[in-house]
Amino acid sequence: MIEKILIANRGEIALRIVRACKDLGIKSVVAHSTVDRDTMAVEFADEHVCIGSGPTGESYLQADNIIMAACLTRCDAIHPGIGFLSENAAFAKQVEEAGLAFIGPASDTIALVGNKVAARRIARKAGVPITPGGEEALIDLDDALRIAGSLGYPVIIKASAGGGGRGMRIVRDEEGMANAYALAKKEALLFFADGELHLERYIQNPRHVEVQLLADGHGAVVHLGERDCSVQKRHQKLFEESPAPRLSEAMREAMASASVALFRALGYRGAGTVEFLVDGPSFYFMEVNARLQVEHPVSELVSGVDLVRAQIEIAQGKGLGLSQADIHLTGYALECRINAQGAGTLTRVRMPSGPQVRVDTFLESGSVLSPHYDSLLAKVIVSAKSRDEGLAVMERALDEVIIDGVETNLGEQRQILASKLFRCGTVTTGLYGEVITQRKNHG
Amino acid sequence: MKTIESLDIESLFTLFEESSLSEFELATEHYEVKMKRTPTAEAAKGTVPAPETKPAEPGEEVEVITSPIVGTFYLTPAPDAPPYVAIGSTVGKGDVLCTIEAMKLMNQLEAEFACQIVRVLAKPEAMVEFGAPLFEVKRL
Repeated sequence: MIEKILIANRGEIALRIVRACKDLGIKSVVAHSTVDRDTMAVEFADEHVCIGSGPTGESYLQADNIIMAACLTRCDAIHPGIGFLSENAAFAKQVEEAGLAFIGPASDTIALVGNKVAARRIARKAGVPITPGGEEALIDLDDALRIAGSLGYPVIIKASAGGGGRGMRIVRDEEGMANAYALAKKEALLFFADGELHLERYIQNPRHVEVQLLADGHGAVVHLGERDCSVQKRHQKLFEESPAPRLSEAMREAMASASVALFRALGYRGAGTVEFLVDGPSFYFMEVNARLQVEHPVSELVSGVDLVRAQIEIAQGKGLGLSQADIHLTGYALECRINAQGAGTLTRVRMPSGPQVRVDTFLESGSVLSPHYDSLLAKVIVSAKSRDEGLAVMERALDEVIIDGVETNLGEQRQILASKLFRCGTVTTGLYGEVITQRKNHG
Repeated sequence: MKTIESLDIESLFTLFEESSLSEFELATEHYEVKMKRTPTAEAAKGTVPAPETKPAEPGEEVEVITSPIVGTFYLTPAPDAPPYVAIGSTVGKGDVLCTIEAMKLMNQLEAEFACQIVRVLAKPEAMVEFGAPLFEVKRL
Protein backbone atom coordinates (compact mmCIF):
# COMPACT_ATOMS: atom_id res chain seq x y z
CA MET A 1 0.00 0.00 0.00
CA ILE A 2 1.14 3.52 -0.72
CA GLU A 3 0.22 5.91 2.06
CA LYS A 4 2.68 8.73 1.52
CA ILE A 5 4.36 9.92 -1.67
CA LEU A 6 7.41 12.12 -2.11
CA ILE A 7 7.07 14.35 -5.16
CA ALA A 8 10.46 15.04 -6.69
CA ASN A 9 9.45 17.89 -8.93
CA ARG A 10 8.22 21.45 -8.99
CA GLY A 11 5.81 23.85 -10.64
CA GLU A 12 2.45 22.91 -12.04
CA ILE A 13 3.22 19.19 -12.28
CA ALA A 14 4.18 18.94 -8.60
CA LEU A 15 0.88 20.65 -7.78
CA ARG A 16 -0.99 18.28 -10.13
CA ILE A 17 0.44 15.30 -8.23
CA VAL A 18 -0.29 16.83 -4.80
CA ARG A 19 -3.90 17.20 -5.92
CA ALA A 20 -4.10 13.57 -7.06
CA CYS A 21 -2.71 12.48 -3.68
CA LYS A 22 -5.38 14.48 -1.87
CA ASP A 23 -8.09 12.92 -4.04
CA LEU A 24 -6.81 9.46 -3.11
CA GLY A 25 -6.36 10.22 0.60
CA ILE A 26 -2.59 9.78 0.29
CA LYS A 27 -0.17 12.06 2.14
CA SER A 28 2.23 14.09 0.00
CA VAL A 29 5.71 15.45 0.64
CA VAL A 30 7.13 17.92 -1.86
CA ALA A 31 10.91 17.97 -2.26
CA HIS A 32 11.84 21.49 -3.32
CA SER A 33 14.75 23.83 -3.92
CA THR A 34 15.43 26.93 -1.82
CA VAL A 35 13.98 29.03 -4.65
CA ASP A 36 10.66 27.16 -4.70
CA ARG A 37 9.96 27.39 -0.97
CA ASP A 38 6.97 29.70 -1.48
CA THR A 39 5.28 27.86 -4.35
CA MET A 40 1.77 26.42 -4.28
CA ALA A 41 2.83 22.76 -4.41
CA VAL A 42 4.92 23.27 -1.24
CA GLU A 43 2.06 25.11 0.41
CA PHE A 44 -0.59 22.49 -0.41
CA ALA A 45 1.50 19.39 0.35
CA ASP A 46 1.26 17.77 3.78
CA GLU A 47 5.01 18.13 4.26
CA HIS A 48 7.96 19.58 2.41
CA VAL A 49 11.70 19.08 2.42
CA CYS A 50 14.29 21.42 0.99
CA ILE A 51 16.74 19.36 -1.09
CA GLY A 52 19.12 22.00 -2.41
CA SER A 53 19.67 25.38 -3.95
CA GLY A 54 18.18 26.89 -7.10
CA PRO A 55 20.18 25.33 -9.95
CA THR A 56 18.57 22.02 -10.94
CA GLY A 57 21.87 20.16 -10.61
CA GLU A 58 22.00 21.23 -6.98
CA SER A 59 18.44 20.21 -6.11
CA TYR A 60 15.99 18.48 -8.44
CA LEU A 61 18.75 16.27 -9.83
CA GLN A 62 20.26 15.46 -6.41
CA ALA A 63 19.13 11.83 -6.27
CA ASP A 64 20.68 11.15 -2.85
CA ASN A 65 18.98 14.10 -1.17
CA ILE A 66 15.65 13.16 -2.74
CA ILE A 67 15.83 9.53 -1.63
CA MET A 68 16.95 10.53 1.88
CA ALA A 69 14.07 12.99 2.10
CA ALA A 70 11.65 10.21 1.12
CA CYS A 71 13.10 7.76 3.65
CA LEU A 72 13.26 10.24 6.53
CA THR A 73 9.71 11.47 5.99
CA ARG A 74 8.60 7.80 5.82
CA CYS A 75 7.24 7.87 2.29
CA ASP A 76 6.61 4.58 0.49
CA ALA A 77 6.89 5.94 -3.03
CA ILE A 78 8.50 8.63 -5.16
CA HIS A 79 6.70 10.35 -8.02
CA PRO A 80 9.34 11.87 -10.30
CA GLY A 81 6.88 14.02 -12.28
CA ILE A 82 8.06 15.17 -15.71
CA GLY A 83 11.61 15.98 -16.74
CA PHE A 84 14.40 16.05 -14.12
CA LEU A 85 14.89 12.44 -12.95
CA SER A 86 11.69 11.00 -14.43
CA GLU A 87 13.43 9.11 -17.24
CA ASN A 88 16.67 8.45 -15.43
CA ALA A 89 17.02 4.67 -15.17
CA ALA A 90 19.81 4.90 -12.59
CA PHE A 91 17.59 7.01 -10.33
CA ALA A 92 14.63 4.65 -10.73
CA LYS A 93 16.94 1.77 -9.78
CA GLN A 94 18.22 3.66 -6.73
CA VAL A 95 14.61 4.25 -5.66
CA GLU A 96 13.80 0.57 -6.10
CA GLU A 97 16.90 -0.43 -4.13
CA ALA A 98 15.93 1.91 -1.31
CA GLY A 99 12.77 -0.20 -0.98
CA LEU A 100 10.51 2.55 -2.32
CA ALA A 101 8.02 2.34 -5.17
CA PHE A 102 9.00 4.35 -8.23
CA ILE A 103 5.81 5.75 -9.75
CA GLY A 104 6.69 5.01 -13.33
CA PRO A 105 8.03 2.11 -15.37
CA ALA A 106 10.60 -0.36 -14.04
CA SER A 107 14.17 0.97 -14.24
CA ASP A 108 15.03 -1.68 -16.88
CA THR A 109 12.22 -0.44 -19.13
CA ILE A 110 13.39 3.16 -18.78
CA ALA A 111 16.94 2.11 -19.69
CA LEU A 112 15.73 0.10 -22.68
CA VAL A 113 13.51 2.75 -24.26
CA GLY A 114 15.99 5.49 -23.35
CA ASN A 115 18.37 4.14 -25.93
CA LYS A 116 17.06 5.06 -29.38
CA VAL A 117 18.82 2.19 -31.16
CA ALA A 118 17.45 -0.39 -28.70
CA ALA A 119 13.98 1.19 -28.79
CA ARG A 120 13.89 1.07 -32.61
CA ARG A 121 14.94 -2.57 -32.54
CA ILE A 122 12.18 -3.58 -30.13
CA ALA A 123 9.60 -1.45 -31.98
CA ARG A 124 10.45 -3.14 -35.28
CA LYS A 125 10.17 -6.56 -33.63
CA ALA A 126 6.73 -5.62 -32.27
CA GLY A 127 5.62 -4.75 -35.79
CA VAL A 128 5.73 -0.97 -35.35
CA PRO A 129 6.86 0.90 -38.47
CA ILE A 130 10.16 2.75 -37.96
CA THR A 131 11.77 5.44 -40.11
CA PRO A 132 14.17 4.01 -42.70
CA GLY A 133 17.66 4.14 -41.25
CA GLY A 134 20.51 2.27 -39.65
CA GLU A 135 19.56 -0.59 -37.41
CA GLU A 136 22.71 -0.31 -35.35
CA ALA A 137 24.63 2.57 -33.82
CA LEU A 138 27.00 4.35 -36.20
CA ILE A 139 30.55 3.00 -36.18
CA ASP A 140 32.27 6.03 -37.66
CA LEU A 141 31.96 8.78 -40.25
CA ASP A 142 32.40 6.34 -43.18
CA ASP A 143 29.56 4.22 -41.80
CA ALA A 144 27.37 7.34 -41.60
CA LEU A 145 28.22 8.28 -45.19
CA ARG A 146 27.48 4.76 -46.43
CA ILE A 147 24.07 4.55 -44.69
CA ALA A 148 23.09 8.08 -45.73
CA GLY A 149 24.09 7.28 -49.31
CA SER A 150 21.78 4.28 -49.41
CA LEU A 151 18.86 6.15 -47.73
CA GLY A 152 19.19 9.35 -49.72
CA TYR A 153 19.53 12.86 -48.21
CA PRO A 154 18.34 14.64 -46.12
CA VAL A 155 19.11 12.44 -43.12
CA ILE A 156 19.15 13.12 -39.41
CA ILE A 157 21.85 12.07 -36.94
CA LYS A 158 20.54 11.51 -33.44
CA ALA A 159 22.23 10.84 -30.13
CA SER A 160 21.10 7.37 -29.04
CA ALA A 161 20.64 8.66 -25.52
CA GLY A 162 19.00 11.90 -26.65
CA GLY A 163 15.46 13.17 -26.59
CA GLY A 164 13.33 16.26 -26.57
CA GLY A 165 15.05 17.68 -29.63
CA ARG A 166 18.52 17.63 -28.15
CA GLY A 167 21.55 16.06 -29.79
CA MET A 168 20.08 16.00 -33.30
CA ARG A 169 21.65 17.20 -36.56
CA ILE A 170 20.00 17.37 -39.94
CA VAL A 171 22.36 16.60 -42.85
CA ARG A 172 21.22 17.91 -46.22
CA ASP A 173 24.03 16.50 -48.40
CA GLU A 174 27.23 14.47 -48.39
CA GLU A 175 29.42 17.55 -47.96
CA GLY A 176 27.70 18.45 -44.70
CA MET A 177 28.17 15.02 -43.12
CA ALA A 178 31.68 15.29 -41.65
CA ASN A 179 30.87 18.49 -39.80
CA ALA A 180 27.44 17.33 -38.60
CA TYR A 181 28.83 14.00 -37.45
CA ALA A 182 31.54 15.66 -35.37
CA LEU A 183 29.11 18.16 -33.81
CA ALA A 184 26.48 15.54 -33.01
CA LYS A 185 29.14 13.37 -31.37
CA LYS A 186 30.34 16.28 -29.28
CA GLU A 187 26.80 17.26 -28.25
CA ALA A 188 25.88 13.68 -27.40
CA LEU A 189 28.90 13.39 -25.13
CA LEU A 190 28.27 16.77 -23.59
CA PHE A 191 24.53 16.45 -22.90
CA PHE A 192 24.12 12.73 -22.39
CA ALA A 193 27.65 11.54 -21.51
CA ASP A 194 27.18 8.94 -24.25
CA GLY A 195 28.61 9.49 -27.72
CA GLU A 196 26.56 6.76 -29.43
CA LEU A 197 24.82 8.05 -32.57
CA HIS A 198 22.45 6.64 -35.13
CA LEU A 199 21.11 7.82 -38.43
CA GLU A 200 17.63 7.93 -39.97
CA ARG A 201 15.99 9.43 -43.01
CA TYR A 202 14.92 12.99 -42.21
CA ILE A 203 11.25 13.70 -42.73
CA GLN A 204 10.58 17.29 -43.68
CA ASN A 205 7.74 18.99 -41.76
CA PRO A 206 6.01 15.83 -40.55
CA ARG A 207 3.09 15.76 -38.17
CA HIS A 208 3.83 14.75 -34.64
CA VAL A 209 1.19 12.41 -33.24
CA GLU A 210 1.45 10.40 -30.04
CA VAL A 211 -0.61 7.72 -28.37
CA GLN A 212 -1.30 7.78 -24.62
CA LEU A 213 -1.17 4.41 -22.88
CA LEU A 214 -1.66 2.88 -19.47
CA ALA A 215 -0.28 -0.55 -18.59
CA ASP A 216 -0.10 -2.62 -15.42
CA GLY A 217 3.27 -4.32 -16.03
CA HIS A 218 1.62 -7.71 -16.41
CA GLY A 219 0.45 -7.44 -20.00
CA ALA A 220 -2.75 -5.45 -19.55
CA VAL A 221 -2.51 -2.38 -21.79
CA VAL A 222 -5.08 0.22 -22.81
CA HIS A 223 -4.73 3.29 -25.00
CA LEU A 224 -6.50 6.60 -24.48
CA GLY A 225 -6.34 7.70 -28.09
CA GLU A 226 -3.87 10.01 -29.73
CA ARG A 227 -2.77 13.61 -29.36
CA ASP A 228 -1.54 15.78 -32.19
CA CYS A 229 1.43 17.82 -30.99
CA SER A 230 2.63 19.13 -34.34
CA VAL A 231 2.54 22.79 -33.44
CA GLN A 232 6.02 23.30 -32.05
CA LYS A 233 8.67 25.95 -31.80
CA ARG A 234 12.19 24.52 -31.87
CA HIS A 235 10.91 21.07 -30.80
CA GLN A 236 8.96 22.57 -27.89
CA LYS A 237 5.26 21.80 -28.12
CA LEU A 238 2.83 24.75 -28.13
CA PHE A 239 -0.63 23.25 -28.76
CA GLU A 240 -1.80 19.67 -28.28
CA GLU A 241 -5.16 18.30 -29.28
CA SER A 242 -7.17 15.11 -29.36
CA PRO A 243 -8.43 13.63 -31.59
CA ALA A 244 -5.79 14.59 -34.16
CA PRO A 245 -7.48 16.59 -36.93
CA ARG A 246 -7.60 15.20 -40.47
CA LEU A 247 -6.23 11.81 -39.54
CA SER A 248 -7.81 8.82 -41.24
CA GLU A 249 -9.65 6.37 -39.03
CA ALA A 250 -7.41 3.61 -40.43
CA MET A 251 -4.21 5.37 -39.39
CA ARG A 252 -5.64 6.27 -36.00
CA GLU A 253 -6.42 2.63 -35.32
CA ALA A 254 -3.15 1.31 -36.75
CA MET A 255 -1.16 3.72 -34.59
CA ALA A 256 -3.07 2.79 -31.44
CA SER A 257 -2.75 -0.95 -31.96
CA ALA A 258 0.97 -0.65 -32.84
CA SER A 259 1.47 1.29 -29.59
CA VAL A 260 -0.39 -1.30 -27.54
CA ALA A 261 1.69 -4.07 -29.15
CA LEU A 262 4.90 -2.22 -28.31
CA PHE A 263 3.89 -1.70 -24.66
CA ARG A 264 3.00 -5.39 -24.40
CA ALA A 265 6.39 -6.32 -25.83
CA LEU A 266 8.05 -4.04 -23.29
CA GLY A 267 6.04 -5.42 -20.37
CA TYR A 268 5.48 -1.76 -19.65
CA ARG A 269 4.15 -0.54 -16.29
CA GLY A 270 2.49 2.82 -15.70
CA ALA A 271 1.56 5.72 -17.94
CA GLY A 272 3.56 6.26 -21.11
CA THR A 273 3.42 7.59 -24.63
CA VAL A 274 4.53 6.35 -28.03
CA GLU A 275 5.46 9.21 -30.33
CA PHE A 276 5.11 8.96 -34.09
CA LEU A 277 6.04 11.04 -37.09
CA VAL A 278 3.31 11.18 -39.71
CA ASP A 279 4.41 11.78 -43.28
CA GLY A 280 1.50 11.73 -45.74
CA PRO A 281 0.01 8.24 -45.67
CA SER A 282 2.80 6.74 -43.52
CA PHE A 283 3.60 6.88 -39.85
CA TYR A 284 6.86 6.00 -38.16
CA PHE A 285 7.86 5.24 -34.58
CA MET A 286 9.90 8.04 -33.06
CA GLU A 287 10.29 7.29 -29.35
CA VAL A 288 8.68 6.11 -26.14
CA ASN A 289 8.20 8.67 -23.40
CA ALA A 290 8.43 6.53 -20.30
CA ARG A 291 6.65 8.98 -18.02
CA LEU A 292 3.70 11.31 -17.67
CA GLN A 293 3.62 14.11 -20.21
CA VAL A 294 2.93 17.82 -19.93
CA GLU A 295 -0.04 17.46 -22.29
CA HIS A 296 -1.66 14.57 -20.36
CA PRO A 297 -4.78 16.64 -19.48
CA VAL A 298 -5.84 16.53 -23.14
CA SER A 299 -6.25 12.76 -22.92
CA GLU A 300 -7.85 13.04 -19.49
CA LEU A 301 -10.55 15.28 -20.93
CA VAL A 302 -11.44 13.04 -23.87
CA SER A 303 -11.23 9.77 -21.92
CA GLY A 304 -12.43 10.75 -18.46
CA VAL A 305 -9.46 8.86 -16.99
CA ASP A 306 -7.34 10.63 -14.37
CA LEU A 307 -3.83 9.67 -15.50
CA VAL A 308 -1.98 10.64 -12.32
CA ARG A 309 -4.45 8.76 -10.18
CA ALA A 310 -4.05 5.76 -12.52
CA GLN A 311 -0.25 5.98 -12.21
CA ILE A 312 -0.49 5.82 -8.44
CA GLU A 313 -3.00 2.97 -8.48
CA ILE A 314 -0.80 0.97 -10.84
CA ALA A 315 2.19 1.56 -8.53
CA GLN A 316 0.03 0.27 -5.67
CA GLY A 317 -0.37 -2.96 -7.61
CA LYS A 318 -4.09 -2.45 -8.00
CA GLY A 319 -3.85 -3.17 -11.73
CA LEU A 320 -5.61 -1.19 -14.40
CA GLY A 321 -9.18 -1.92 -13.43
CA LEU A 322 -9.97 -1.02 -17.03
CA SER A 323 -10.12 -2.80 -20.34
CA GLN A 324 -10.13 -1.14 -23.75
CA ALA A 325 -13.90 -1.60 -23.88
CA ASP A 326 -14.21 0.63 -20.80
CA ILE A 327 -12.47 3.52 -22.52
CA HIS A 328 -14.89 5.79 -24.36
CA LEU A 329 -13.19 8.62 -26.15
CA THR A 330 -15.68 11.41 -26.59
CA GLY A 331 -15.54 14.97 -27.81
CA TYR A 332 -12.49 17.09 -28.35
CA ALA A 333 -9.79 18.64 -26.15
CA LEU A 334 -7.11 21.24 -26.86
CA GLU A 335 -4.24 22.45 -24.69
CA CYS A 336 -2.43 25.75 -25.10
CA ARG A 337 0.88 26.20 -23.32
CA ILE A 338 1.61 29.66 -22.03
CA ASN A 339 5.35 30.16 -21.70
CA ALA A 340 7.44 32.95 -20.25
CA GLN A 341 10.08 34.60 -22.35
CA GLY A 342 12.16 35.74 -19.40
CA ALA A 343 12.36 35.63 -15.63
CA GLY A 344 10.90 38.12 -13.16
CA THR A 345 8.01 38.82 -10.83
CA LEU A 346 4.47 38.36 -12.09
CA THR A 347 2.84 41.58 -11.02
CA ARG A 348 -0.61 40.45 -12.12
CA VAL A 349 -1.96 37.05 -13.13
CA ARG A 350 -5.51 36.37 -14.22
CA MET A 351 -6.33 32.92 -15.48
CA PRO A 352 -9.44 32.04 -17.47
CA SER A 353 -12.38 30.11 -16.06
CA GLY A 354 -15.92 29.27 -17.00
CA PRO A 355 -17.48 26.32 -18.80
CA GLN A 356 -15.24 23.80 -20.57
CA VAL A 357 -12.02 25.38 -19.32
CA ARG A 358 -9.35 23.76 -17.15
CA VAL A 359 -6.21 25.62 -16.11
CA ASP A 360 -3.16 23.88 -14.67
CA THR A 361 -0.80 26.45 -13.24
CA PHE A 362 1.24 27.08 -10.11
CA LEU A 363 1.36 30.83 -10.46
CA GLU A 364 -0.56 33.73 -9.01
CA SER A 365 -0.06 37.48 -8.81
CA GLY A 366 3.22 38.12 -7.02
CA SER A 367 4.83 34.79 -7.96
CA VAL A 368 8.50 35.02 -8.83
CA LEU A 369 9.82 33.21 -11.91
CA SER A 370 13.30 31.88 -11.39
CA PRO A 371 15.71 31.75 -14.32
CA HIS A 372 16.74 28.25 -13.18
CA TYR A 373 13.65 26.45 -14.46
CA ASP A 374 11.62 25.90 -17.59
CA SER A 375 9.40 28.55 -19.01
CA LEU A 376 5.97 26.92 -18.67
CA LEU A 377 3.61 29.32 -16.89
CA ALA A 378 0.25 27.69 -17.41
CA LYS A 379 -1.63 25.12 -19.43
CA VAL A 380 -5.07 26.18 -20.59
CA ILE A 381 -7.07 23.13 -21.64
CA VAL A 382 -10.54 23.22 -23.10
CA SER A 383 -13.01 20.46 -23.84
CA ALA A 384 -15.81 20.59 -26.38
CA LYS A 385 -18.07 18.46 -28.51
CA SER A 386 -16.19 19.30 -31.69
CA ARG A 387 -12.95 20.91 -32.82
CA ASP A 388 -14.72 24.06 -34.06
CA GLU A 389 -16.45 24.49 -30.73
CA GLY A 390 -13.15 23.84 -28.91
CA LEU A 391 -11.30 26.50 -30.89
CA ALA A 392 -14.00 29.05 -30.01
CA VAL A 393 -13.79 28.17 -26.31
CA MET A 394 -9.98 28.42 -26.41
CA GLU A 395 -10.21 31.83 -28.07
CA ARG A 396 -12.53 33.02 -25.30
CA ALA A 397 -10.28 31.52 -22.63
CA LEU A 398 -7.07 33.08 -23.98
CA ASP A 399 -8.80 36.46 -24.22
CA GLU A 400 -9.36 36.33 -20.45
CA VAL A 401 -5.70 35.72 -19.63
CA ILE A 402 -3.67 38.55 -18.15
CA ILE A 403 -0.02 38.02 -17.24
CA ASP A 404 1.90 41.16 -16.37
CA GLY A 405 5.51 41.41 -15.29
CA VAL A 406 7.19 39.06 -17.76
CA GLU A 407 7.07 38.67 -21.52
CA THR A 408 5.02 35.67 -22.61
CA ASN A 409 4.15 33.84 -25.83
CA LEU A 410 0.45 34.66 -25.40
CA GLY A 411 0.40 36.94 -28.45
CA GLU A 412 1.95 34.26 -30.64
CA GLN A 413 -0.41 31.62 -29.30
CA ARG A 414 -3.42 33.80 -30.13
CA GLN A 415 -2.01 34.32 -33.64
CA ILE A 416 -1.56 30.60 -34.18
CA LEU A 417 -5.06 29.89 -32.91
CA ALA A 418 -6.49 32.47 -35.31
CA SER A 419 -4.43 31.28 -38.30
CA LYS A 420 -6.11 29.64 -41.26
CA LEU A 421 -3.63 26.75 -41.19
CA PHE A 422 -4.45 25.85 -37.61
CA ARG A 423 -8.19 26.39 -37.98
CA CYS A 424 -8.46 24.06 -40.95
CA GLY A 425 -6.42 21.41 -39.16
CA THR A 426 -3.49 21.17 -41.55
CA VAL A 427 -1.01 21.07 -38.72
CA THR A 428 2.64 20.15 -39.23
CA THR A 429 5.86 20.91 -37.39
CA GLY A 430 6.35 23.66 -39.99
CA LEU A 431 3.24 25.57 -38.87
CA TYR A 432 4.94 27.84 -36.34
CA GLY A 433 7.46 28.94 -38.96
CA GLU A 434 4.75 29.62 -41.51
CA VAL A 435 2.43 31.52 -39.19
CA ILE A 436 4.85 33.39 -36.91
CA THR A 437 8.35 33.58 -38.38
CA GLN A 438 7.27 34.39 -41.93
CA ARG A 439 4.76 36.97 -40.81
CA LYS A 440 7.46 38.68 -38.76
CA ASN A 441 9.81 38.69 -41.75
CA HIS A 442 7.17 40.25 -43.99
CA GLY A 443 6.52 42.94 -41.41
CA MET B 1 41.75 23.69 24.71
CA LYS B 2 39.76 22.68 27.76
CA THR B 3 38.95 19.01 27.82
CA ILE B 4 35.69 17.75 29.18
CA GLU B 5 37.45 15.98 32.06
CA SER B 6 38.86 19.24 33.36
CA LEU B 7 35.42 20.79 33.79
CA ASP B 8 33.79 20.77 37.20
CA ILE B 9 30.35 19.26 37.75
CA GLU B 10 28.67 22.65 37.97
CA SER B 11 29.87 23.75 34.57
CA LEU B 12 28.79 20.37 33.20
CA PHE B 13 25.27 21.08 34.41
CA THR B 14 25.33 24.47 32.75
CA LEU B 15 26.63 22.97 29.52
CA PHE B 16 23.91 20.33 29.55
CA GLU B 17 21.25 22.94 30.32
CA GLU B 18 22.31 25.01 27.34
CA SER B 19 22.76 22.13 24.93
CA SER B 20 20.03 20.46 22.91
CA LEU B 21 21.04 17.03 24.23
CA SER B 22 18.37 14.93 25.87
CA GLU B 23 20.74 12.64 27.73
CA PHE B 24 24.34 12.85 28.81
CA GLU B 25 26.62 10.39 30.56
CA LEU B 26 30.21 10.87 31.58
CA ALA B 27 32.58 8.65 33.50
CA THR B 28 36.02 9.82 34.54
CA GLU B 29 38.59 8.41 36.92
CA HIS B 30 37.07 10.47 39.73
CA TYR B 31 33.38 10.53 39.09
CA GLU B 32 30.50 9.26 37.02
CA VAL B 33 27.57 11.49 36.05
CA LYS B 34 24.26 10.89 34.25
CA MET B 35 21.94 13.67 33.18
CA LYS B 36 18.56 13.33 31.55
CA ARG B 37 16.21 16.05 30.42
CA THR B 38 12.47 15.72 31.14
CA PRO B 39 10.83 15.92 27.74
CA THR B 40 9.03 19.20 27.13
CA ALA B 41 5.64 19.33 25.47
CA GLU B 42 7.25 20.39 22.20
CA ALA B 43 9.82 17.63 22.19
CA ALA B 44 7.11 15.11 23.00
CA LYS B 45 5.22 16.15 19.87
CA GLY B 46 8.34 15.43 17.88
CA THR B 47 8.70 18.89 16.45
CA VAL B 48 11.93 20.78 16.36
CA PRO B 49 11.75 23.45 19.05
CA ALA B 50 12.18 26.94 17.71
CA PRO B 51 15.55 28.22 18.81
CA GLU B 52 15.10 30.58 21.70
CA THR B 53 15.96 34.10 20.81
CA LYS B 54 18.81 35.30 22.93
CA PRO B 55 19.80 38.78 21.84
CA ALA B 56 23.40 38.83 20.72
CA GLU B 57 25.65 41.03 22.78
CA PRO B 58 26.62 44.30 21.13
CA GLY B 59 29.51 43.88 18.76
CA GLU B 60 29.03 40.11 18.73
CA GLU B 61 28.42 38.78 15.26
CA VAL B 62 27.06 35.30 14.99
CA GLU B 63 26.92 33.18 11.88
CA VAL B 64 24.80 30.15 11.17
CA ILE B 65 26.22 26.93 9.77
CA THR B 66 23.61 25.11 7.68
CA SER B 67 23.22 21.56 6.45
CA PRO B 68 24.60 20.92 2.95
CA ILE B 69 22.51 17.76 2.49
CA VAL B 70 19.31 16.03 3.57
CA GLY B 71 19.93 13.49 6.31
CA THR B 72 19.88 12.67 10.01
CA PHE B 73 21.80 14.97 12.33
CA TYR B 74 24.13 13.52 14.99
CA LEU B 75 26.23 15.46 17.47
CA THR B 76 28.18 12.38 18.49
CA PRO B 77 30.27 10.03 16.36
CA ALA B 78 28.59 7.01 18.05
CA PRO B 79 25.60 6.61 20.38
CA ASP B 80 27.73 6.41 23.53
CA ALA B 81 30.52 8.72 22.45
CA PRO B 82 30.93 12.30 23.66
CA PRO B 83 29.69 15.02 21.32
CA TYR B 84 32.02 16.54 18.75
CA VAL B 85 31.21 20.00 20.06
CA ALA B 86 29.19 21.62 22.80
CA ILE B 87 28.17 25.15 23.60
CA GLY B 88 31.24 27.24 24.24
CA SER B 89 33.67 24.86 22.59
CA THR B 90 36.01 26.28 20.02
CA VAL B 91 36.87 24.51 16.81
CA GLY B 92 39.54 25.09 14.22
CA LYS B 93 39.10 25.08 10.47
CA GLY B 94 38.58 21.48 9.36
CA ASP B 95 37.46 20.22 12.76
CA VAL B 96 34.39 17.99 12.71
CA LEU B 97 31.19 19.62 14.00
CA CYS B 98 28.69 16.82 13.55
CA THR B 99 27.76 13.91 11.31
CA ILE B 100 24.84 13.82 8.94
CA GLU B 101 23.79 10.35 7.98
CA ALA B 102 22.60 10.03 4.40
CA MET B 103 22.40 7.01 2.12
CA LYS B 104 23.94 4.83 4.87
CA LEU B 105 27.00 7.08 4.95
CA MET B 106 28.10 9.10 7.94
CA ASN B 107 29.06 12.44 6.41
CA GLN B 108 31.24 14.45 8.75
CA LEU B 109 30.62 18.15 8.52
CA GLU B 110 33.82 20.13 9.04
CA ALA B 111 34.10 23.74 10.14
CA GLU B 112 35.05 25.97 7.24
CA PHE B 113 36.60 28.47 9.62
CA ALA B 114 37.75 28.62 13.23
CA CYS B 115 34.81 29.44 15.47
CA GLN B 116 33.17 29.12 18.84
CA ILE B 117 29.85 27.29 19.16
CA VAL B 118 27.16 29.64 20.48
CA ARG B 119 24.14 27.39 20.09
CA VAL B 120 23.21 24.04 18.61
CA LEU B 121 20.15 24.69 16.47
CA ALA B 122 19.29 21.22 15.17
CA LYS B 123 17.85 18.44 17.24
CA PRO B 124 20.10 15.38 17.49
CA GLU B 125 18.84 12.32 15.63
CA ALA B 126 16.24 14.38 13.78
CA MET B 127 16.02 14.93 10.07
CA VAL B 128 17.66 18.00 8.65
CA GLU B 129 16.86 19.38 5.21
CA PHE B 130 19.17 21.24 2.86
CA GLY B 131 19.88 24.63 4.38
CA ALA B 132 18.62 23.67 7.84
CA PRO B 133 20.40 25.73 10.54
CA LEU B 134 22.73 23.47 12.57
CA PHE B 135 24.97 25.73 14.67
CA GLU B 136 25.14 29.34 15.62
CA VAL B 137 28.81 30.23 15.84
CA LYS B 138 31.11 33.16 16.50
CA ARG B 139 33.97 33.43 14.02
CA LEU B 140 37.36 33.49 15.75
